[in-house]
Amino acid sequence: MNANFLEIAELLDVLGAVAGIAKAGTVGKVLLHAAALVRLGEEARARRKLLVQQAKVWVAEGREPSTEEIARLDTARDGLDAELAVLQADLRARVGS
Amino acid sequence: MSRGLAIAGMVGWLCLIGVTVPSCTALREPYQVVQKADEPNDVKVAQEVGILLGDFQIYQEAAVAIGKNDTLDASARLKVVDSARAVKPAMDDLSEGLKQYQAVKAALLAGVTPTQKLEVVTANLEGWYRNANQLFQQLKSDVAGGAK
Repeated sequence: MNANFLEIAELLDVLGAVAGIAKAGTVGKVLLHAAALVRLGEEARARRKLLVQQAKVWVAEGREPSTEEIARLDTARDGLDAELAVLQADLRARVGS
Repeated sequence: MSRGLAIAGMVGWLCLIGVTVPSCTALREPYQVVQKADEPNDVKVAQEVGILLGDFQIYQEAAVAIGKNDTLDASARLKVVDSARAVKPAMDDLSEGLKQYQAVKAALLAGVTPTQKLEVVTANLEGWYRNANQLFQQLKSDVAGGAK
């Protein structure tokens, strides 16, 4: 069984689709969006490389994620969700939903 | 806007719309971890779970970045943020399942629980993994589809 990671292209597709409905119609602004999305994609790609390296260590050592690694993932997931909750409330207020 | 930024933006845009340019190849490179064929199934499942939890974290980070990006439309940003939050409970369940599996495995190694219990808890973990992965794939599809 191969562990297939989410390809960065898929993430870029999502980001590109978001940019698609957000585009303002001017060439300059579209380019600005594209540059921001490329930067986001590069950051995600770098993070993904770290994850792949971690997974390769698990496989090479024939082991599973450790308790500490799971705890770190839990902490990060909760922290990011808290940030998303704040953003969600702010954005809902802006769009009036 | 500098010429360099404009060129970088244009290349990025071409990548996004699917035009083949050399730098796109690197961006589209799939990352694969080939697991050992002789690895016990329960270890493979636990590794897959760790990978999915890590993948979701990357998606959350991207969602935060998009949510904060004032150059994007607020409703589009909200859609991404909503989707990232919607799958979080399934990922929490998956993480709990992984911990339960590891507790049973530790008990098995200590000789205080039967092998069958590990098989059951591994099967449960696989079920949680399928559920969480399905939701994760669906949310990516929803975000992409809904935004078109």
